[in-house]
Amino acid sequence: MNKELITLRHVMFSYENDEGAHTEAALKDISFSVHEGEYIAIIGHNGSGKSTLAKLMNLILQPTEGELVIDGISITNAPLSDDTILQVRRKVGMVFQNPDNQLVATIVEEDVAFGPENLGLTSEEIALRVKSSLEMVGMTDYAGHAPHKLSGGQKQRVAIAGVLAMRPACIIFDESTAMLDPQGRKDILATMKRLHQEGMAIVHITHHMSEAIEAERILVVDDGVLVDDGTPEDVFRSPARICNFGLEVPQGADLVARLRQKGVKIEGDCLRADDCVREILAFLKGGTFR
Amino acid sequence: MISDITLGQFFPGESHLHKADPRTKIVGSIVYMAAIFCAKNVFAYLFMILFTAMLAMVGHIRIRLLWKSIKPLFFVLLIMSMINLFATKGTGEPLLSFWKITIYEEGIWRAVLVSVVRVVLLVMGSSLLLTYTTSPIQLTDGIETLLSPLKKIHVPVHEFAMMMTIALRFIPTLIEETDKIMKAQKARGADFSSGGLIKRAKALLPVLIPLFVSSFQHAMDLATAMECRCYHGGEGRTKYRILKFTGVDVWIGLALLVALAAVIVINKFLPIGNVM
Repeated sequence: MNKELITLRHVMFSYENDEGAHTEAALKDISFSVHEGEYIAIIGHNGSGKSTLAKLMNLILQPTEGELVIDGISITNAPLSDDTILQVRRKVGMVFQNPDNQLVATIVEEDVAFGPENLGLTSEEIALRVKSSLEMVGMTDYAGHAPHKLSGGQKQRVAIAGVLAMRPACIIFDESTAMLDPQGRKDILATMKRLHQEGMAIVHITHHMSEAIEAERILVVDDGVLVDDGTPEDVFRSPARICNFGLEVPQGADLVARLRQKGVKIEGDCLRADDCVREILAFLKGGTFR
Repeated sequence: MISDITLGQFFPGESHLHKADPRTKIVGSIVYMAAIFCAKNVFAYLFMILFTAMLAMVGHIRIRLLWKSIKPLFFVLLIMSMINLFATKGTGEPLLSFWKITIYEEGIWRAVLVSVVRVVLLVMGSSLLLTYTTSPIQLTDGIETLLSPLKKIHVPVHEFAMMMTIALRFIPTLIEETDKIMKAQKARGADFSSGGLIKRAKALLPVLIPLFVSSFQHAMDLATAMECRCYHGGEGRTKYRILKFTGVDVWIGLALLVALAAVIVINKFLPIGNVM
């Protein structure tokens, strides 16, 4: 296993209400690690605390109790210096849900340059990073475009390039596909996969199971508690359990589970649609219905 | 209907005017305005018309575009020229006199030159130098750099420039949103296009309030996203595009200064047809 990049140790978090009192804990006693180059999906129903979890990993929020270690820097509920915050944010980038609300500049390349500009890099270095980041998300042709003329998926890819330009070790996608059309969603997933292959750690927060199964590891959060942590196959092994957490089972797995209930003998997990098709075809060719 | 609005009016291009440094163009447009305000007679105005046409040629901006920039000013021009026409007291015999209105020769000159030609040239010249050939981001960069000495007396120059950039960035987003909200309200029976002025203004209220609320949401989200990208104010921040003066700037600067000088010279040595 690679080096640990982000580690949470018994992290608790509760929001403060207007009077400054803590409300019910949004996260309860959460412990897990994100390793370098790992591809993780975090799933949970609305209000389960998965977005709060993302905000902790980027220091938008600080844990109320427990310890968070990011790239060797320990973070508790003690106030942090600006330098520490910047150091963490250089390492862990974040892509948000609404592509419109994260683009700052009126031209694509200027927007990608925003992060490196904040890091105080030289103009030559910024130019290099802008170029390579746009290449990595396949948006080089749009460098001179205005962001508002791009599609949702393209805007989101620009946002990813903006994060990449800071050369982080990990990118958190906080429901970054939720507002996109199917094509845009596909593009972003493909981009994530490519970044993962290049060695970037990816944390994808989503409530689309078909997206979650692309990850190497899935964390399931339910009412602020980490209830499951394993490979997609492990997590979706018992559909009933997943349904209990207010989540859906991937369609393929659901179909196969129903067929099995009817006595049809199909092998495999069938999480992905093409696996499902293959298994069903194999079954049909097996001769039962001939 | 709303999506027709093009803001910024920037026309990307590769001309010398496009390539010039925004600082040159900002200071240059001030020189240009000074030249126009100095112009006192027909010849000076003629010279500036020629000069502006030359600028348009250098910037590859077609006359039709320039015409579009002054079209919205039609009524302002009309009213201004009327006032000049009727209010100017000439020295000679009035050309026309009926009821309470008298028109002098000077009045006609003033109406044509001072109100129409001058305003048209001012608008065309600043459009050519600034909005048409300079991208909004260059413009803000230029303003930020030009004003940066004010940082010494604690004027938040960087913050202003950042606010301008973000405002420009969000204009299309908010227009899109206005459109969406209006459609949603129309679907529920809202009527924006009939009734008097007050009724229409009232009908816009259910559009403005959601727009207002959502722009706050945009602002909050954007602030978080900016922080996540390590934004921590102007201190220690570098620039991707560093503004640099080149040969083009020298030529454009010189041309504008020569134009100003020429206008002054024409005023002095061709004192015929003075209108001021």
